[in-house]
Amino acid sequence: MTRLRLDGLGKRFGDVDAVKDLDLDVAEGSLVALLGPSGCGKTTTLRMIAGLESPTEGDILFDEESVLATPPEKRGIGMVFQRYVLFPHMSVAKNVSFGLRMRGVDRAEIDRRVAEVLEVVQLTGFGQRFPSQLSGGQQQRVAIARTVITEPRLMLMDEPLSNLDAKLREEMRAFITRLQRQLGITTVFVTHDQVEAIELADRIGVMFDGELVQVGTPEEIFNRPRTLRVADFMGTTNLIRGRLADVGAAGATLVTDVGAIRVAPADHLRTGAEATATVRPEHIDLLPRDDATGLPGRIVESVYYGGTLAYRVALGDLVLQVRDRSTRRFGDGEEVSVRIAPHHVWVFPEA
Amino acid sequence: MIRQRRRGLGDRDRLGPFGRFYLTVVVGMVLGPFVPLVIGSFAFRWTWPDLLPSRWWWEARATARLPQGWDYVFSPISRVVESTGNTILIAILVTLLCAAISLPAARVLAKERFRGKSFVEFFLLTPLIVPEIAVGLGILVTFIQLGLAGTYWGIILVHLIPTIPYMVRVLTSVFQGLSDDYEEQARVLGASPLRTLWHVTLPMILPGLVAGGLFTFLISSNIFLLTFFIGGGRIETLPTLLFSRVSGGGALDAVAAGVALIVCIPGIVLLVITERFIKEEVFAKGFGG
Repeated sequence: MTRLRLDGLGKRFGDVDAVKDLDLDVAEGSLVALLGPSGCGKTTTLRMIAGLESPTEGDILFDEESVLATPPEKRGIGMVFQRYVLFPHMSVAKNVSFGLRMRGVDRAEIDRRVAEVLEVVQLTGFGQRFPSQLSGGQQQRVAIARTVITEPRLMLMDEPLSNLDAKLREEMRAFITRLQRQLGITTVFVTHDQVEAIELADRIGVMFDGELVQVGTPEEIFNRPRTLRVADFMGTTNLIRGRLADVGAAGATLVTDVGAIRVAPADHLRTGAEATATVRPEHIDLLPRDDATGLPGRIVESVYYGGTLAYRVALGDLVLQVRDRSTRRFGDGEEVSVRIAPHHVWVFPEA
Repeated sequence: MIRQRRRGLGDRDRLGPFGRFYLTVVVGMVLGPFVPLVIGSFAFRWTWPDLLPSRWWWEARATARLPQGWDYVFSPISRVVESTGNTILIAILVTLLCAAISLPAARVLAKERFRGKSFVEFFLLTPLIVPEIAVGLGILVTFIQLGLAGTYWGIILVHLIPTIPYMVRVLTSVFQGLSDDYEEQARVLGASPLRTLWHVTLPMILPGLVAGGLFTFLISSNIFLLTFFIGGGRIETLPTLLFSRVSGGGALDAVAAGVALIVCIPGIVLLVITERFIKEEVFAKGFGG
C-alpha cells in the first residue's frame, strides 16, 4: 500500500495552466475521486501521476519519495483508460498477462495468476477470446484485471465507466468498490459524474479550471460545498438570494423577497451580509397550504420519476425545484406551503 | 481490393448482363497483354503480319528440346536466374531499409506538430515529382566519385528514392489511426519504449506495414532507369535484362517473351502470399474490431 502526495503540482501547455498549484494527499488504501467538468485538468493530473506527462511545477511523491525522475514503466502503477485500450492482437489471457510478461515472471506463475485474476473479474474461461469478441462490460473487466494482476502500488482510473450503458455502469461501480476494498490498492479515480464520485470515493477532490477547489468526504462535498460552483456541480439547483439577519448561536435568518428562511449556525455568517443560500431539491418539503410553518408557494409543474415526484414550485418570482418522495400528490396550480429545514440550507456570503 | 474482385467473381450468378460485360472487359484488360507474351514464348517463328506464329516450337522439336524462349530463360547464358536473384535480394533489402527509415518519420509526421511540418511533407513527395532521369544522372556522377556506382549498395540507395515517399505516406495514415492510448497503456504496464514498440506498436501497424512493404517491393523490382544508370551493366536485374533483350531489334521474339513473363513472377507470388497473410491477420485476430 502506498501513500500518494501531490505537492504544488502544476502543468502548463503553452500559455495555458492545465493544472495549478495542486496539493492532494491520498491515504494508503483509500479511493480518491477527482471530480470536475471536462477540461478541468483532472485527466492531466492523472497522467502526471502515471508519468505520461511531466509536471512543469511541483512534485509527486509515492510514500514520500519523489517519482518525477521515474519513467512510467518503473512507477509500479496501474492505469485503466476511458476506452479500455485492450491490445486487439492479443487474446484476453495475453492482455491480462502483459504486465507480468514485461516483468519477466515465469510461465507457471503467470498462468496461475491469470486464472486467479480472471476468476476475480468473473471471466473464467474467456482467456482464449479476443477483445473484439467481448462486450463493453467484459472488456472493461479485462482492462481492470490487466491492471490489478501486477499488484500496482497505485491504481489510476480515467473515467473507466463513461463508455458503459447505465445499468452496466451501476454494476461496474459496485464491482470496482468491492475490488478496491478487497485488494486495498490506493486508487485515484477521475470522473465528471458526481453520483459516481459519491458512490465510489472515500474522498472527493473537486476541480475547476486546473484548480482543486475542495477536498473532502462525499458527505462534506455534498452537504457543505465550499463555493457556489461546487454546489452547482454537485447538483444543487436552488439558489435563493437574500440578506442575513439575527446571526447567533441558534443560527441565522436569511431575509429574502419571498420570506424569511432559517439557517443553521455557522462560523462564516455575518449579520447584514448579502448571501446566497442553496438547497437541494430533495431537502425541500411540500405541505398543504393550511400548514402555516412554511412559505407560500404554487405548483407550476410536476413530473413523475419512478418513486419520486419532481415539482417546480413558484414563490413569487422565485422558482424552486423540489423532489418529493411522499405518496401525496399536488396538482398543477395548487397552492402549497414550502418548508426548508435549517440544517439543509447552505449559505455562501456574496463575493 | 483483391478480395472484392474475388467476391465479384464468386457472385457472378447474381450479376446482370451489364455487370457480366463489365467484368469481362476488366479481366480482358488485365490479362490481355499477357496473351501475346505467352503465345510468343511458345513460338518458333512468328513474324509480321501473321496473327499467330507460322511455326510453333513443337513443329521444330527436332532442333529444340524445350520451347526456344524457355530453353534460353533457364540456361545460364541468359542471366535470368542471376537477375531474378538480384532483383529479389535488392527488393528485400530496399523494403527492410525503407521500412526502418520510414517508420520513425511517419510516426513523427502523424503524431507531432512542429514548425515546417508541411514543408517536410512536401519535401518527402519531391522524388515523385522530379523526373527519374534527372535524379539518376546527378546521382550517377556522385556515386562514381564515391565508388558506389555498379555496386549493390548503390542500387539499393537509389531504390530508396522513389519508395520512401510511398512508405511514409502509407505509414503516416496508419499511425494517424493508432491511438496513443495503446502505447501509453503498455508503458504503464511496465514495458520499456523498445518493448512497447515490439509488443504493441509493430503488431498493431502490421497490416499497414505489410501493405507498404508490398508496394516497396513491387516498385523496387520494377525500377529500370535508376538501376540501369547505377548498375552500369555490372549488376543486372530483371527490368534491365528485359530491356537489353528488347532494345536490339524491338521485335518480340520468343526469348524476350519468356523473360517478360519471368519478370512478372516475383510480383504475382508476393501478392498471393501477402493477400493470404493479411486476410488471416484480419479474421483470426480481429483487427479493427
